[in-house]
Amino acid sequence: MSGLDERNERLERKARDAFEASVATLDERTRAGLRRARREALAAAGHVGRPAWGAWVPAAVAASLSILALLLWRPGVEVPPQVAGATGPSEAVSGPVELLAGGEDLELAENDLEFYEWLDVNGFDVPESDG
Amino acid sequence: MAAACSEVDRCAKGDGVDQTVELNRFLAGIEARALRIAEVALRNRDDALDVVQEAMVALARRYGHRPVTEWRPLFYRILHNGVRDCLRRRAVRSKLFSWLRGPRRGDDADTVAEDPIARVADAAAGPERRAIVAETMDELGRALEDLPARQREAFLLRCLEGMDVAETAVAMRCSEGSVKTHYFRALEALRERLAEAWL
Repeated sequence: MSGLDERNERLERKARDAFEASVATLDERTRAGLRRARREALAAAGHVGRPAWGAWVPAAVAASLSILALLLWRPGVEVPPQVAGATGPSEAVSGPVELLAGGEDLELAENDLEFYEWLDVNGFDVPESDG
Repeated sequence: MAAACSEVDRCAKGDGVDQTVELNRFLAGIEARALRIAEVALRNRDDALDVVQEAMVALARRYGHRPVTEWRPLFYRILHNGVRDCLRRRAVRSKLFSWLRGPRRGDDADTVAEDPIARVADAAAGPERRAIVAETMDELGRALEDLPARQREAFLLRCLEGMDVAETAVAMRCSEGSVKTHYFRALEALRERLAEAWL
């Protein structure tokens, strides 16, 4: 072993010994502070695994769906007359209730719902279905 | 330790029980060493305690779900980031105050804690032994103070915490080759600084 290696080893050993002794002789007040810090960290660990906003996502989705269902389903509201030229319920898309009752593709209906309402409000004829 | 464990056992419920108990065990095993490492780097007990506490909370929040074997390098990565932030803040504060009040004697007083209560160590160690340990650690702290941050981190993790090269590389977010280089240079510099007192 070279002289350099020996000196390095001596330095490492002395540093390590002093460090271990300093850990062993840590005062009680500091140890109590470390225990407090650990308790706080463990309390924080209770929130591990999901970001804080994550828990609200399912609740928000459920609430949105409920509101949408309430908006679509209004008991006692008179069903508006069919659009001129329409031959059946599937073609007479004049409102969301008919849309749902007619078994149309829901995704398409959701996308176009506002457009149909806008047409209705502005007195335009609703175009007939391609099919 | 036993009291802390039973407290955790009582509090922890559901799927996270094992993880919380494991985390408690890990932190209990590492906290005193982490504090001393931060204290050597910062040369201030209170700052070291703050940095350790922040590292514990950050580990639990961000990496608590990771495998236990990954915790040690991750914990020390967070700890050393905290040490660096603290040193940076201190440097800015020091510059600001020196500019505001001009040159003054005893400016280093805020970097060296002299809390008489904190210095009351375990009586069983004996006052002479404690004094020697404190003096040796102080010398080491002063020598480390002048090292570049990366060399200091490599020395603290490899030599004092006893991490292997691979773990140290994860903790320092660098290659194993860089760890070896930083560590070698740290030893070289410390040999020079501590030559008279230590070798």
